[in-house]
Amino acid sequence: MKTTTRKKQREELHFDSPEAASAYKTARMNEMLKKIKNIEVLTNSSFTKS
Amino acid sequence: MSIGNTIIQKIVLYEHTDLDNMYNLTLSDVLFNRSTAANVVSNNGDLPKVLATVVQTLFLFFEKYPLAVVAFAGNTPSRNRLYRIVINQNSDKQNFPFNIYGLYDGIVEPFKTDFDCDGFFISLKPNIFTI
Repeated sequence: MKTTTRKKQREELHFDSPEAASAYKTARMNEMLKKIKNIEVLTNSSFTKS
Repeated sequence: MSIGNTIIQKIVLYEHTDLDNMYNLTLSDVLFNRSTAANVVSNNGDLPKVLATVVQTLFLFFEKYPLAVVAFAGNTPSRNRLYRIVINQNSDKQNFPFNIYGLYDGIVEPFKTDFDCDGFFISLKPNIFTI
């Protein structure tokens, strides 16, 4: 993966394939999920049935 | 496919996260040799069309996984702000089909129109496919 910075807030990430991009973003999401203090909001069935 | 100032092939991928029933959505530009650029600001003049296509993929996804949660997050605060604005423009429409939550300082809460968040979580409202 290469990272190119055009601006401080505009960062493009380059990958060898769409699957690699998805894997990277999913890994980032997994890290984010670990830090959520009330993850039960998303894991209990009420969110998907409300 | 984004057809505006130039032609850009785009791809939406859903990948299972570490949580049961939760999938991460990634929208990327496909470059030459299938290499991919994520988080690109294309400025191709057809953002509404691109986002409408992403929403169409959500319907297809939820048709197969109606109880799933789809998560996504931009790589930068400015990208998350853009997503918030787009959701704002659509979420108060009648028959809006999705529940949307945001991540605010580590807390998941129902989507707030006036506050930036770090991530978004979408589920399908019930009975969408039976109306």
